[in-house]
Amino acid sequence: MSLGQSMLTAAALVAITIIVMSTHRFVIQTKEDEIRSMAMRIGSDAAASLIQEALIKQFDVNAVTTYYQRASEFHSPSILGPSPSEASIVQLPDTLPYRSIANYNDFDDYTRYTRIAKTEAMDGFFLSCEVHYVQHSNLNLISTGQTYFKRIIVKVVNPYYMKGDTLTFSAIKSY
Amino acid sequence: MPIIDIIQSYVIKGFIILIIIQVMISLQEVVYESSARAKIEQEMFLVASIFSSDVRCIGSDTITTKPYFLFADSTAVTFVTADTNNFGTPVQIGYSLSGFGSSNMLNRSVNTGTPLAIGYNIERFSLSYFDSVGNMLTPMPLSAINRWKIRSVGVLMRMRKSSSLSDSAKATWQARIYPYIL
Repeated sequence: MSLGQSMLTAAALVAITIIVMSTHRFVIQTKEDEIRSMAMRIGSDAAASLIQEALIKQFDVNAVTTYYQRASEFHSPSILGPSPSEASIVQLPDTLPYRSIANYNDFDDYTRYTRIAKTEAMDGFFLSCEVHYVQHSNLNLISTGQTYFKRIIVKVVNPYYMKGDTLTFSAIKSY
Repeated sequence: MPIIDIIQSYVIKGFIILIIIQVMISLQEVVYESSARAKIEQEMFLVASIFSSDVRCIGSDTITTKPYFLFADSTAVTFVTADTNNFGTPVQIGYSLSGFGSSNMLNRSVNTGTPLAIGYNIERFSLSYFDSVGNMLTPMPLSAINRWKIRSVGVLMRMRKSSSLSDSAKATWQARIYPYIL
């Protein structure tokens, strides 16, 4: 085999190697994208379940149905969160079976609440919550005083399947 | 050119063609699996949306025939929802599986109407029911006393891509649904 032929053969092998490596990179990237999108959907379901769980709780621990209350009768924004007894039972992060279901009795108990969710398909989802009063005129703005509206914000991360991505969901509960 | 060089060049050429063919097959498989998975995810999302929407509307303040769950089993459920179809009366909705093995269909019935399939190739459809403190209610099917206690419904559903040659195109949905009114 002459030198020219050898060089051509070597060049062809290099080209083949590059093609194979590019293909492998494409395959791996596609798989990663699939897993990430699946993780996002499962994380969304976990967040939806948590939001639904919080929404069925009463608006405030001081809320009653016997008369129409003034907003000032509700818990102050500075003390939103679980009571000491609730906090002692619901250790954070909460894991299956979730103790928040039985032991949190009002919406703002989910302030600073965290949960590790897992499903049959994937696990390792970390959910964190914040609850704030929001303004009547603009439900996107946090209120410094009591109002008839509270907003829960749930953030979902998964360090294994959603590297760097954070899903954020929110819902409003009214008195 | 000696005969040995010609043989060598043919071997190398064949090797290169073989690699290219294998690369093309791999790419085709990846594209096929990706599209199959996307399709099954869409089908799953549709079924999940319908089921979630129905379960969330369970209950009605215009009926007296509690419990709202008329039948509750691990693979079938019948319940009463609010007047979601705007006919002026509560709506009775049922879900059940039919078919065999992994070719199961998930059927949805409204009032006394014929059950219609809303999901195909259901490999698994498992329901669980929880009381107000999150305890799972058993045994299945639930008794009337236990159906009174239901406050949330857990669902685990797995679908596979119809006519898929591989088992990889599957989608799983797992959620806990809390009806508005319970």
